[in-house]
Amino acid sequence: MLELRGISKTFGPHSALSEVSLSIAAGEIHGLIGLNGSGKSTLLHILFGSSFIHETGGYNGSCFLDGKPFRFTSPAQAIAAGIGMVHQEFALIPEMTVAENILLSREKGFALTDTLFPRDFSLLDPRKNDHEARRALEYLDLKIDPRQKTGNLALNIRQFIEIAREISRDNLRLLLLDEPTAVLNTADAGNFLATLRHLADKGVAILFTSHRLPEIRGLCDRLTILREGRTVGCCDVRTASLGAITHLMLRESVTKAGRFRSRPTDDPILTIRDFQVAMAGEELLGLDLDVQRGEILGLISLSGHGKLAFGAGVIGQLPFRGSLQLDGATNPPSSSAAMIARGVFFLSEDRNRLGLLPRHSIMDNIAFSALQHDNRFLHPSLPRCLRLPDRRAIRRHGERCIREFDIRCTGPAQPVGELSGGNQQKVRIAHALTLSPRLMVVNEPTRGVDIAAKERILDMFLAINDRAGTTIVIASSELEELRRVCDRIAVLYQGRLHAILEPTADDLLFSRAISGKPVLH
Amino acid sequence: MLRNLTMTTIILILSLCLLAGTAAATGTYKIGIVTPTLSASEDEFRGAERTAAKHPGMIRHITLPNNFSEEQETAITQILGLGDDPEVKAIVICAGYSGILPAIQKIKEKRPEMVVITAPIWDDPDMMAKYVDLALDTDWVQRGISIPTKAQKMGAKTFIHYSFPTHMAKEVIAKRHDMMKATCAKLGMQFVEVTTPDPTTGAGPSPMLQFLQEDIPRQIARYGKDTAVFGTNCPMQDVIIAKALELKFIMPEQCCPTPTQGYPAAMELAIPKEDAGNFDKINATIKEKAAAAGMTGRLSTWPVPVGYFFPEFSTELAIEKIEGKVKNYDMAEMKKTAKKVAGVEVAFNKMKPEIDNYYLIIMDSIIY
Amino acid sequence: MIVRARHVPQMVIAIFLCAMAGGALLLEIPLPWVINDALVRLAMNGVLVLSLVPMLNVGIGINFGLPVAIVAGLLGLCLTVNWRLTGSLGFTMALALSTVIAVCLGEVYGRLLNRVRGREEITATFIGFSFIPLTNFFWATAPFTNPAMLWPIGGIGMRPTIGLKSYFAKILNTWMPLEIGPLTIPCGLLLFFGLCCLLVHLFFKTTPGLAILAIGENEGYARLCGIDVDRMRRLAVILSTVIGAVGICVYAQSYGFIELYDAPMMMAFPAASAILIGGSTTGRATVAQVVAGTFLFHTMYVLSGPLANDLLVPEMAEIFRLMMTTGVILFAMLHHGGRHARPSETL
Repeated sequence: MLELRGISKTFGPHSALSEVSLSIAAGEIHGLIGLNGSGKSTLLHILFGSSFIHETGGYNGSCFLDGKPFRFTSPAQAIAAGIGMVHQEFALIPEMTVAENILLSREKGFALTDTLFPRDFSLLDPRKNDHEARRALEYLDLKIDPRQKTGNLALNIRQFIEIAREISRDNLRLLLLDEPTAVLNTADAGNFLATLRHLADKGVAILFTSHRLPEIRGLCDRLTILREGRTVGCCDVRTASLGAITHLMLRESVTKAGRFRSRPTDDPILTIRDFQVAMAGEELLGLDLDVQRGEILGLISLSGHGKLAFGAGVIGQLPFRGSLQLDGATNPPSSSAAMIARGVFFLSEDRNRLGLLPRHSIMDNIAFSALQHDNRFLHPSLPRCLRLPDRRAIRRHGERCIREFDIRCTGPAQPVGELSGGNQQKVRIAHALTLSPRLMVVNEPTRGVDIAAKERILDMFLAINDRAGTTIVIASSELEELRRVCDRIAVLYQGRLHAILEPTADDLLFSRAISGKPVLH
Repeated sequence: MLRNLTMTTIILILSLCLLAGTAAATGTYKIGIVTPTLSASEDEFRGAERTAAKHPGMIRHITLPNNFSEEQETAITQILGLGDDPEVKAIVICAGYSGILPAIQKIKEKRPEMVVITAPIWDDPDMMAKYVDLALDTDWVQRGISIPTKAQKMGAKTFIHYSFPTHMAKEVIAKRHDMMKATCAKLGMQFVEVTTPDPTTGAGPSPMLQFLQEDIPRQIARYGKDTAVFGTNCPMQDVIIAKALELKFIMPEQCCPTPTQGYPAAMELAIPKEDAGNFDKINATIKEKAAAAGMTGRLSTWPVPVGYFFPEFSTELAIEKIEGKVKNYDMAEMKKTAKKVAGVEVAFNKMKPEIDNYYLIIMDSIIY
Repeated sequence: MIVRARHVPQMVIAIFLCAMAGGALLLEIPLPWVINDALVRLAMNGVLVLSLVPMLNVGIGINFGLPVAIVAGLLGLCLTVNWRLTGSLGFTMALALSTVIAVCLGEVYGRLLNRVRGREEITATFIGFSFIPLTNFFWATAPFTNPAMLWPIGGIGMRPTIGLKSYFAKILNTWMPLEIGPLTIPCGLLLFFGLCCLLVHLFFKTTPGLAILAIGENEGYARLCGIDVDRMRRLAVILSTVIGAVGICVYAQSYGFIELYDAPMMMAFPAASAILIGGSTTGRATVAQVVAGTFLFHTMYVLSGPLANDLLVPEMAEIFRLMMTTGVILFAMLHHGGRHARPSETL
């Protein structure tokens, strides 16, 4: 149904894609895999006619839909042709409700005004629209009120709404999915994948990118592997081995990070009781938890059960109720500045909005907080009250971090906005570590990050915990990675602590705990 | 009780009327002066104040609302109130608004003997002539002849006219410009027209003033020192006079001729509080400063602002009529009175040949 | 292609300027005068344009409330003239007083702006506009005593324009002039402007400066990193106000007059035009953009006036220049909008 021949695309001097060819049949789920920056997103954006492709000089090569050539210059043309896309960066309007977002530009009007006026002037029927949206959400097995505003929802819910919007379209023939499961946890992802299978059975072709190899293998019919903008392989999933695919993707083998276990102490650095945080879609309703000094604590839960609210509440990004005892001090002033002064640092899961200073250079990003709070990197030969930084020290530090954490870039002066997601994540962690915090709370550290970068990031956590004794709390949906790095894993259910498990506990126990069933110690 | 009260009131009113009647008979009377407020126009207000000081107890000075066009009714009631006072025998209106004539009509219907002098109001001239004893105004267009003529007397060989499109679209300014051009041609002076950035668009007057600061030296370099510079916009005058002091060219008259425009800022006139409003003193100070800058004979204006001159002048004319010294105003009589008030000759022109109570004035200049 | 499109407005204006300079040569308008005027204008307006930088960088947007800063400066100037301080002592005193007043006004102004998140530009515009009548009342009644500043007829209240010739008019313009043939370069004035630029540039290298830049770029992240966003925004507003106050001092000494009453009302707009023409966008403005923008914007004025008058098409020139400047601003804003609309990660 869809055929691409010799697609090439350059951004200025950088070549993003060269001579990529691909074909998909109706009803086929086609996987597109590759590391961060291998050109997967760019390819999807070309198919969808995204405006920045056109603005940056278009592309070379030709695309055919049902044998007819096409070259979209705007997403509207693609949508008219029956192509839908779920973006890696969300394209939802936060001030609109869920239903309005799902049915945007396809709203149902009252029958009377529909016949009286041209479609654009018809009076909208909110009840019909709600119903339509509810149906799309039910299809995804998602129980939320379609009249809620999207801006308040948690990330994974927003992802679902984005997906609901695309699959609820009647003329959908080709669905482009850019890392749709990156922000979903395993259970949600499974649910979602089943929906995709169902869609494919109805004849919709699906082009799917993901970092999760097992997922791709379980779902896709065929695979195309990209490396540095070139097709390095195209194979049937059933015939290719996981090792072979990984090898094609990386051309280097990955050593997995693993934990040499430390002994648990009984010296809590942070104690919280009846901790409540009103984060929309991720409420904490009364968490009691002790975080021991020097441990790596994992937080896991299904989405919507509060694991992401922990960090936001502790750092003071959101107000909390209940008691918080940090290093003996009860309820210290709850603001980011005060918490950073007490050695707590938080990395939010919302990398796009609360992640970095995209226009600043790598070195400036890394040194930012240390410079602001610890007076580090101030120029040694100038009076300190001038507060002029020592550029050379900042560059040296940046270079060291780049080496140490293997940040792929052109140099410490490159703006971080130009880096791929995984490398941005490394910069964020380097930034946090520069502050040498005593307690670090990290939300979803490996979301949307390729395998190689993921291992580096987990390695980083292990190394700093080992060397500096930093206490780390990781809230993640990836059980497998938590089991590899954590000393203890706390399972949250419905905004409360449900169980604390050893990372060695077996899978069954974990899945029982996560789904809220009683666990025997 | 009630009857008593009514009786007392009636007696009181009757006696008041009697008193007023005797007052009028014995020659003590009052003159009403109507001006805008201080913030709307300083000259007229201060002029009325000065007249009041000159004739203590004789002047009733009232001010019109600031936003005249919106509160016209209030203004008319105020003026009618003056007409209702039996002691007031003359009303002088120095307002520079249009829409006051109905008030005058009503007063004249009630009290035909009331002397009404407008200096100026801007209603239909023919109608005004019917109801008003005397109408006065400045002769804006005629200045198109008087200014270049004066400039040539002061030694100018070139005449530069600074203006901008929105100003040139006004009838009076365009007419004056045309007359200046014609006069210059007749007198053999070169007429140069320069357009400045428009102060009415977006950025306000500062681009215009910066342009003048840069352009005047260029023009003087081109045409020499014997050049007269005239600008049609009030804020221009500060820069023109300051540059005149620096570059020694001729400044024959500002757009609004008065010693208090342009000169105070450009010459940094320090006028002690007790001399504020004393134009003889102000003119003497300007003369001194001009001499110090070697500019004697190259700066000129009218010695008194017309707005300041009109209230006093009109009041004097009203007194003459009430006391029977004149029956009808004629030019020769008015010239004498004007000279007494202004200290210089004042020329009168009829607004229209067929109307004999509407005059336009041009004052003789003072050359520092 | 995008990279090239970025400098289109500047290039269009530069080409237009070159064409005008060529025209001036043909019409024998003395170029040294033009260059001299352009340099004076660059420095006399430059500081005012520079004052927009801190507020742009903290993400508040263009400081349409510049009249607040200007009034602070005017008050400093008036006090100095009232005490009859002349020469460099007078000017230094005016700068010092203006700074002190600007800090106070800026603090209040900053607090106001912190209350109207997201609508700062329109609020600032109206703060500026409503501040003017308030100060008009003040000027009309303030108990200043130097008679050279008071109304000549009534003797109470300030004149609309106050001459500075015997105080410190042109003190910077005439300081260390460098004469090269027919050209007089106002070194002192340029040096002062350069110093202001350098100070602002250096400020954005200090930690508070970096924090301000970070807030402009990603406020939520800066807050999460423990930056006191409100305080930093206030700091930026105060800085803008102080630089604006210094700017009007420089402007007044070069112009030779203090202009009171309604004069500051519209002063924010040419400054905003200049900085936009320089290529700055909301959230980031550099000193280089200030210099380039001010130079282009004001040289256009310097050249177009005499040229148009010599060509006898004055009305056309006025319309053409307005089209150029407003068009360029529109282009700058559209271009900014386009960059905003693009997803952040493209590669």
